[in-house]
Amino acid sequence: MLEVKHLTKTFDGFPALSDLSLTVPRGSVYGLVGPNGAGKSTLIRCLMGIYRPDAGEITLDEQPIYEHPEKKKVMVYIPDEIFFEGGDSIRDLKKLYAAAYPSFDEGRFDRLGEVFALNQRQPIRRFSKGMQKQTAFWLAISCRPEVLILDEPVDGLDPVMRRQIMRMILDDVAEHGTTVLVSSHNLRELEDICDHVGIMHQGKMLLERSLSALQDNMVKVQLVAELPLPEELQVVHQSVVGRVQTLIVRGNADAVQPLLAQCHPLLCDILPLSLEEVFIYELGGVDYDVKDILL
Amino acid sequence: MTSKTSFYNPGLLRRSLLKGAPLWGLWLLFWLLLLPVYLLTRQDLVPFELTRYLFDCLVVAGTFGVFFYGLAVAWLQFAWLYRTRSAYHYASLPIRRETQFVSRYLSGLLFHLVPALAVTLLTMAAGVVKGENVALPALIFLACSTLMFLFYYGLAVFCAHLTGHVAAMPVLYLIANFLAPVLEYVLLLVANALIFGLSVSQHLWPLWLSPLYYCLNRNIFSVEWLNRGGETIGYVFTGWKPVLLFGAAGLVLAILAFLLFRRRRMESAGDVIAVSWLKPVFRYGVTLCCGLTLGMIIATLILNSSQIHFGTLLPCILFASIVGFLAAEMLLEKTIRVFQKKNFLRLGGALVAMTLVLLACRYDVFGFTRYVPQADGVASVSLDGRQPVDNSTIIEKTIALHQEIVANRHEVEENRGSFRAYRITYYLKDGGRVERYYRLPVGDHSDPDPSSLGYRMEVLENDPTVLLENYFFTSDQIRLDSISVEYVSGEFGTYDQINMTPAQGENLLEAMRKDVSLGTLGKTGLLAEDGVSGNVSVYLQYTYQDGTWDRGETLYVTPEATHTLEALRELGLPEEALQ
Repeated sequence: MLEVKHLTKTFDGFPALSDLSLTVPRGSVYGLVGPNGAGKSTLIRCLMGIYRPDAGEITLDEQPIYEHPEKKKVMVYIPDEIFFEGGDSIRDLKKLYAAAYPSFDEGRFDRLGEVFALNQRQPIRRFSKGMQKQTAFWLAISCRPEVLILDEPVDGLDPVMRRQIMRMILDDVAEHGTTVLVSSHNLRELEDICDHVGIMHQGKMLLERSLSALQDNMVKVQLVAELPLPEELQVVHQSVVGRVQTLIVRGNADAVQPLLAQCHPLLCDILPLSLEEVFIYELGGVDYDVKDILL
Repeated sequence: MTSKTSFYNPGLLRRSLLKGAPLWGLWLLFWLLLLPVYLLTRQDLVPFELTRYLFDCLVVAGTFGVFFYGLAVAWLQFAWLYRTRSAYHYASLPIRRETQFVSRYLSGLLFHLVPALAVTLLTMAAGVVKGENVALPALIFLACSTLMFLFYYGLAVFCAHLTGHVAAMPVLYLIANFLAPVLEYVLLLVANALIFGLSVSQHLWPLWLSPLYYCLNRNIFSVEWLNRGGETIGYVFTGWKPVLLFGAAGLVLAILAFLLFRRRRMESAGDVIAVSWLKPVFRYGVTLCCGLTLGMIIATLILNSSQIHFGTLLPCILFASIVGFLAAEMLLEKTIRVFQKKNFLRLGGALVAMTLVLLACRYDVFGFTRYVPQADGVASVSLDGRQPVDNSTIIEKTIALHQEIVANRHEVEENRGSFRAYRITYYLKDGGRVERYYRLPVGDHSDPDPSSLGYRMEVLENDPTVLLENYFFTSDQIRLDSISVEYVSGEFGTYDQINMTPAQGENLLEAMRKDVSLGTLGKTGLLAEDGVSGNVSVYLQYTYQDGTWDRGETLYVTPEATHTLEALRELGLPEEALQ
């Protein structure tokens, strides 16, 4: 389990992370969401032991990560901008990764070569941004990490490659119990792959829950009814177009349905909320600018 | 999976060696051409010619060569710290900092060791081909160049860990090599303008604080050549001590760099100063250096004179300090928006401190300028570098004149006419030393004013007691080695010379002593008199007993020096030279 407790990190007095805590269960896919400047990359760099925290602790299976190569050996990180030096080719970086990660799987690297189909001898600087991202995934997946940390991972990838890479990662999660933490400022991108979500704003963790818990806790209802809504129904948001009411109601579908039945509905449609809608309505009452977080 | 702690990572080492191949390849090629290839092309060799050539090359290799190469290698090994992408990447890898550092440091050492070893072996082989055994000098070359590389590389690695900026690293390295003499020069320049009578005849700090400057000023790779009958028969390399010390210092610097690296914050990539406690040192160091240097330049340009007025110098220094402070702050904060309250407070504090120190120096708060030793505390006095005199009358006269100089400070400082620069050195009975330096007015140089301070100091300096001590040392520690009389004579003005031992010239020395006592010989400066037509001069060569010091004194014979002229006649000098 990857765990962060009361993490604080400041840069020249500016608090990039303030008393932040988070828990990533083993084998989960954790989506870290937040607008630009929320502190996602800073948090990831702290997780990877790049930044030394000012306060708090970061542990993997209850062992600290910072300056502990034994823990870092099972963690691989793909930054938003991948690293390579002047004339580095994929082969050069492969040698570096193989020397650094004892779990580097040469066989897997060769097999993945068929998927990525990149010239291993060509300098990476001549690759497009998408090809550079593919290189990073190729090398990272070949390390067979127990924890994979991705910072804005799919920028520059075409939809087909994006889907293919995500499938490979999810296969690893399913087969090997790999833990994945993926950051993005785009909720829609994470909705399909994450089972846990944390939302960050201004260096703080606003909300952290499993996706199912979030989605089970709220439903969208389209309703045409003859009688008024019962008082027990916890309506978070309501809009009316003609006779059709659209309601956001707290509770799962099984709990909400009997209550709706009390108002003799002519039409009653209970729908799941998208991740984006969950966050909008979950955080609607909080004193934060939700629009700012989600855009 | 278990793993043991390792201090080097073969992957990193290999990668670094491959990446640096063009650099160490060039280094190898350079030395190949300069040593074995060149040795093979030499013809008509005299004994030890190749050995001499090797030692000559060592001077180049051990100073300039490793100075630049050490910088280039360190830069190549540690430039990854200066780019966020590379710094974050390497920091995220499961490689200990110890391993990262040692792998790269070792790789850098190999950049020198491998080419140097190859060149040494090939040089030995070239020596065999040319019939001269150069094995030992080649090994000395290898050892010395490696030890000096160890130093310059260590210094460059240390500088590399002080900064997070790619351009700042070589600048810091240059500063480390030249700061001490430059700062000393500027400090003395400003101090001389502020402190009346200040004299500094020794370095403020040791020369080795500026290593390249030190190496250029001292022959650290010294070799003693053994000769017999004009032919070299051997040599002894005597430069091990400084070279070994430099090598050890290089290792210490590398260890310090490692300690800095262990605590380094990777987010400092891009910062001019990467070590937080060094930031105030940089801020106020730049303020001070810029204030003194730029302030002095501006004041000199404004006044267009070598005499600097305090009233002009102070605002110039303060203005330049403001420029320096803001520049330092901009570099530290990586923005030009540094006009904030906290910075104004810091700047204000620095300016107030600087003003107070300058005012204290100028207005002699510490009593330096006013201080003149008491006669009973002075053991001897030296005038303008002459041999110290312990005569109480001379000491009292000097002190009286010194007091007059101090009392007439304004007149001395404001003098825009001719002057004579004098250094007065008192050797105190308690073992202390007091030294002052003044530029004393003498009136018009062609017609000096006998009442002027400069002229009176000249009279004191030419007092027979002072001259006798200066020309005929009374100290047991100083030995007269030889006397030579030089003169011009004959129709065509032929230059001639008579050399003699002190015993042979005893009569001449006695005669000269008499003339100096009478004031007819040996006067210098404004009081010097014309010599005889043959420009006859007597040169006395002295040596300190332990051989650490030697000195020559030349006396031009005047027509009034009758005793000396008589002694010279007896020595057989032609009459026309003595007219």
